[in-house]
Amino acid sequence: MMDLSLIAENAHLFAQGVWVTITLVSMALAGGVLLGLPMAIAQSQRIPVLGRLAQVYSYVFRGTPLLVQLYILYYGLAQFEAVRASIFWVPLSNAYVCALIAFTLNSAAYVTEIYRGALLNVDRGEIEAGLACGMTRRQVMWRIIVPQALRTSLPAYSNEVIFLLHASVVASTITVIDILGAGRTLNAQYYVVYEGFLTAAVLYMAIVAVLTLCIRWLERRYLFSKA
Amino acid sequence: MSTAANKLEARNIHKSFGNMEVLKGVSLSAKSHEVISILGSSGSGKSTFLRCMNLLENPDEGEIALDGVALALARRKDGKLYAADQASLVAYRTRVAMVFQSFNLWSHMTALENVTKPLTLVLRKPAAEAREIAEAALSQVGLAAQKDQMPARLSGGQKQRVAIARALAMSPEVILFDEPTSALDPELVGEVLAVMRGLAEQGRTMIVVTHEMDFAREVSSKVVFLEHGQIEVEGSPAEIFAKPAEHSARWAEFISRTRN
Repeated sequence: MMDLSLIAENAHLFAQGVWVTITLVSMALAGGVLLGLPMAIAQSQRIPVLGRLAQVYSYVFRGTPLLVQLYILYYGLAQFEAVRASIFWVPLSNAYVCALIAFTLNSAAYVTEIYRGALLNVDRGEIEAGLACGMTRRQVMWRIIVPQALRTSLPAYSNEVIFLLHASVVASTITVIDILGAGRTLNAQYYVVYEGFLTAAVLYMAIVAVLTLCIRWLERRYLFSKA
Repeated sequence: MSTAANKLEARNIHKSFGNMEVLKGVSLSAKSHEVISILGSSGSGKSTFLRCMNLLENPDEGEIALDGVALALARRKDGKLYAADQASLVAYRTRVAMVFQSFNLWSHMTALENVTKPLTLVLRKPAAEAREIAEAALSQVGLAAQKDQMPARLSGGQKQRVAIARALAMSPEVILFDEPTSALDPELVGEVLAVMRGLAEQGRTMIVVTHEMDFAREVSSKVVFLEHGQIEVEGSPAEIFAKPAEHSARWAEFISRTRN
């Protein structure tokens, strides 16, 4: 049967795992929005070169598995002497940093697609109303189109948040002690199976439960009716 | 023709969409305090003409002048005329406001925010002053109590009145109305027309594309009947409503059809 005392004794290990998962995922999400929103704007506005680049970017990063992206970054780049000799080697030799970069780039691609659709869905008439009262195109973009797109894409974006949280378990395959990493460490140390995995599962569920509450609150606060 | 007495003047506006010529040289001038109604069947080009007057549509040919000063236009690669510079377009649009058929309130803002946003963003008014102006404009259209509502919670008539308040708050010299009551349920048309009559009585300069014949006849100082992208009849309501057949057969037919 399950040995609960084992889990209690190693609570610090899981606490550390929760911290690593949460920081990793939240930083990647923030970076994903910072990268993804400009790419979505470039695409929706058909900005000549940038729009096309953004399209290729999201094609590549959504077309390949996150695990593969992570391995290329962590194991692949190390094969090149030039990389190891460069100043980038200090961060790139760190598994946590590699995971952060991979998650950010990956999330940016999905965020680009979510926001691109939302930006294009903003009512044409509301854009015209902005122009007609003397707003510049830039003001219309940042005061009308983007705020609406961020709000209408909340449900789709919250899916991305939960998706990335779960996808973040791949970090544990490159030695990062995240929640699943903590579970695997426990299992390996005590030759058990359920204790580590079940604890990890419960912790992920707890985080999703809290996230869901936050998302509900955000949706109630910011999601508006179009009618 | 271009006299300083004309508040807003559009000269010889031509506009085509692809091969279809929608406006074939339409000219219109509004003096201060004039209310001009533009009538015409759908497809006559009346909305397109109004949208050309604030460059939401870019004409192929033509001139627009406010207070006798022409808005500088420049031809772009697509062959259409655009404002030559952003600053003068912005200045022009703050002086010539627009009210749309489908209200076009910003759906993520409250009624009050819809009115204050252009004041703070475009006219650079301090927030407190913008709020004061906006609240006064909302009271004027009878919606002081609804200021914190989101547009989705308002009726069509209320939305259009907020849109009118949004235009009024800018203290425009001319207000363009693009079929302001066409998207409303019949029982809501009256409240919007009442607000517009009030504005006309205040001496606002208004150009109104409309299907409301009573409004055109009773409120406007000039009526323009557009047909196939050209002005078919133009004159004071007293002149052209009295014996329509003497002016144009098409106009007479249009009136008799709308009376049914």
